[in-house]
Amino acid sequence: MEKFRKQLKTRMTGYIITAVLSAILYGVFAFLDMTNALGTVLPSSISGAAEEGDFTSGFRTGFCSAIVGFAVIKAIFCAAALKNEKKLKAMYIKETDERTALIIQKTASSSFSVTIMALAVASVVASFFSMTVLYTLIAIIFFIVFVRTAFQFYYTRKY
Amino acid sequence: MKTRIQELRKAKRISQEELALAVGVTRQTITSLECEKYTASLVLAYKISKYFGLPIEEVFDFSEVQDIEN
Repeated sequence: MEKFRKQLKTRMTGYIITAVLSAILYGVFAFLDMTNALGTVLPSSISGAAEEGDFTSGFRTGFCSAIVGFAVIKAIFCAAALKNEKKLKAMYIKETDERTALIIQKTASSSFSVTIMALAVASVVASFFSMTVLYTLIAIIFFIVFVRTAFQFYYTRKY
Repeated sequence: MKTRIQELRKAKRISQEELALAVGVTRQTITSLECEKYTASLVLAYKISKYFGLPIEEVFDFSEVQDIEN
């Protein structure tokens, strides 16, 4: 339990750092959007996306806000567990429960297969409409397969 | 896998929550074990058997495994 307590403290520090960095990023994005600084720094072919207005700036700020919110909530939960032995034990059991771990593994495995197939079908459909979308989907498929292969290799070595 | 967990638990007059806390799993895992939806790992089977003070074979039914071997 002491080991888990230390892990939780480290995790809480990580969440706080994530929240602070995301808040800083939020500020940077807000500044760039307000001043349209990207248009003066990047070539017009890249900065063009920044000029699409509300949707893209909303996406960036929403993303940062979500990260900050998530990190703050997680940090609060960690702090509450560290102060209360009962909550700490409940959290430990929830995280180490073997049935939960099995469910997470099976979910990840099934999700991966379905996602790859869906992306492959989407890329075939996209080939009729947009080369940019097609290339993006192909790049995503390759990235996901590469990451999965790398982790498989790592865990095969580890276990 | 069939088990006698529910029978032994009721004989000892303890709840699923109490048993779960004692062996370090969630209540849902105990429910799944009792409903034969989930098969416990070796470590969990050992912990449950030790909690009831019985050998593993008297808590978990390995007859299916023996049938496969035969």
